[in-house]
Amino acid sequence: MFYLKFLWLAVVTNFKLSLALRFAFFITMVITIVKQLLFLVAWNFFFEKYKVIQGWNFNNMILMYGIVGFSIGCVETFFYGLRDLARIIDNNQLDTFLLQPKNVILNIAMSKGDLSALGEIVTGVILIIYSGYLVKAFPVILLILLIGILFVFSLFLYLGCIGFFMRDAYEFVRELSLNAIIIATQPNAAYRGAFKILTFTVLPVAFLSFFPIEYLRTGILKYLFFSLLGTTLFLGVAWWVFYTGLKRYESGNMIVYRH
Amino acid sequence: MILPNKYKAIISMAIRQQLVQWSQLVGRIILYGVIVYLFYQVFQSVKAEPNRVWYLAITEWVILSTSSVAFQISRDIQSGQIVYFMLRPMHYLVFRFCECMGTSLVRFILLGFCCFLLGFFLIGAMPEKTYLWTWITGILFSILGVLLYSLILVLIGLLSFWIKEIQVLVYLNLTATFCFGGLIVPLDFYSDFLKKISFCTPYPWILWWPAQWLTDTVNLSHAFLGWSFWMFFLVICIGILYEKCLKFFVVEGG
Repeated sequence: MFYLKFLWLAVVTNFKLSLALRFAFFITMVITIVKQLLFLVAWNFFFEKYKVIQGWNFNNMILMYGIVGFSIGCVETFFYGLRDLARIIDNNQLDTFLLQPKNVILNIAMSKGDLSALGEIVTGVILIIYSGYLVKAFPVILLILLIGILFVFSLFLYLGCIGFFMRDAYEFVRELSLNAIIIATQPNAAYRGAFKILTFTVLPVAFLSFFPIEYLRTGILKYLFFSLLGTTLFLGVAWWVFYTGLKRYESGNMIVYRH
Repeated sequence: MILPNKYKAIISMAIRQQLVQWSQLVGRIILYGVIVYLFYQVFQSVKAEPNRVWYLAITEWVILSTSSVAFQISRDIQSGQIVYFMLRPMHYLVFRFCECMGTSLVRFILLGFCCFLLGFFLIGAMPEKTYLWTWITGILFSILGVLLYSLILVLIGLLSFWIKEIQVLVYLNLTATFCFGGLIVPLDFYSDFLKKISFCTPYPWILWWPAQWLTDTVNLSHAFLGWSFWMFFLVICIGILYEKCLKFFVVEGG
């Protein structure tokens, strides 16, 4: 209950901040939606030429974009602090969060929100509706979206923790996050060999974009189960990596204030 | 046109700075390798011709070589740091552009090697047009593409005088490059309507032109004309915008 109230207050504060620059906020939202749709325009021509990629058609691709976009949008809207984790560690500014009587991870995650990412949520919903699966499998879609949010939360936490083990890691982490998102938003069914193993283990984006789509495409329940189990395990791993890394953290004794 | 020594010094400084930031370079190379390999698998699964992989390797090479000059300019403007640069005996934008060129040069050379090695390793052969002069001109066109893309980023960076958060514009630009520049598939795959729209934007002259030249055929005079037009247009736009920015800056009190 305490965290729900904390989350609500963080959202309201961020919303007020965003609305202070109202025009920029709405422009950002519109651009985000256009940006997502432009990606699909290019993919549309790819699928027109090659039709199907290992059983995935353009509709599956739209659905995948919808799920991934919605999940990333939610995490960036409410837990954007995780994307700054590597920078916070780099600058030895974690003290502010460690001193408060709140869960450190949630405190960092909720310290910042990017409401312009609402555009991604809106696009995600539009794409899922357009794919036709929202009506066909409403409860399952809800579950998959929840899994997606948990997964993206874990992913940003997991990647941000690299900052504990590597100096000046912020840029590297940013590139890696981009990598992960790119890998997650391509037709996963085409991945083979070592690359497929990578998407199941070190960078397990398969739990976000491969298994859920495979379940919705084939109806085989084990895919949904794998997605749920994999995401839960990944969250646990990310949590563990954070607290392991935290032991290596050295304070910079810096006096900082939070905006 | 001969570049004054002070700007040459900026380029050489940026090169050294980029070489020191090895983690960023490693990240770029990994990103490049991952994207090319990922699409190699996608193209293989649909049994596309090998030239498609070469095409993608070249477009990614160009796009990932460019430095994020827009964010740098935006940071200077937002923090007010730009004032200190204005006091120096050099043009602020030329300074930032030269810096961007230095950074891009290092990335361009490194990623160029990666492109060549990875393409050859994955496909096992060079693109169908393997003449030496085709490669040399293709590399030159790629450099021209990087120049054009950097100018667009400078323009976006300047917009942060009015738009406080340019991140979304940078991403929109990236997506527009993806779509209108033909990042994964050549523009020939597009419908006539979208092809026409694409050719009305600067993006084909950044990506499609060099990649298509190295893997297929391009009307060179048409392409060069398109590139020159957009370079000229962007330089004029940036000049006008910068003047406006300075006036705006003086009114706001610096």
